[in-house]
Amino acid sequence: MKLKYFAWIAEIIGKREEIIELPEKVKTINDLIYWLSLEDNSYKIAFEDTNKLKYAINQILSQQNDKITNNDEIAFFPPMTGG
Amino acid sequence: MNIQITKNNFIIEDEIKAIEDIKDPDAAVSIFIGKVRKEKNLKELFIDCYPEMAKMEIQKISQNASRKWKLNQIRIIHRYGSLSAGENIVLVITTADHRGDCYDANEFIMDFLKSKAAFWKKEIFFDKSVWVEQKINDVKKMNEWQKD
Repeated sequence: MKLKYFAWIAEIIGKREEIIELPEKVKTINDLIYWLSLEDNSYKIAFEDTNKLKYAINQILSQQNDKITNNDEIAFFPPMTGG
Repeated sequence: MNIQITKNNFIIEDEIKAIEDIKDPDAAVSIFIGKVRKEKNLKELFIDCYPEMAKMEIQKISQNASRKWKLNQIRIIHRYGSLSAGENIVLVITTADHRGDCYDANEFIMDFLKSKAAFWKKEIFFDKSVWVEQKINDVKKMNEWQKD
């Protein structure tokens, strides 16, 4: 699975993307946040306030409870500020 | 429909010519250019971007605009990377047979692009850096269109 991070989330985690092997027990974005937060404190800090987070599964805006698979590209980012 | 996500600057005359090369000049052409605001002590504006997602979302916004108004062409360029004060950020050109369609569609596209397309601005001042937060008014303006 490819994970991508943008804006201040990438700065806190210290990387813009990484490849991980998804553990079987991780079924949703919510599970992924919880699992990553246990792996390293930087994820815990970045994902602390989920009100400030948005997610995409394969470039489609998604919700925390949406299902994920090992073939997906998951992105984490704050609300957009384009234009 | 032509959508570009790029680090490169654009030249407005070239973009108008590109539109006229595809089709005889339209009766109504609306052009919006967004630029980096000249704020005190601003060193640069950094724009982070998820290019594949940004392009997909802008395509969706443009398709919605085309369903809502009678448009002939849509041309959008959004830049990312490090930009200086006064530099171009975004270009939205809409063309139609009548001005009402291209004016309204242009505003609609910008209102959705600001809050839906995958870009994130960071203001880098000489003494600090700040990630720009999404503005409630921008979201309100976008939601106004959904009431129609």
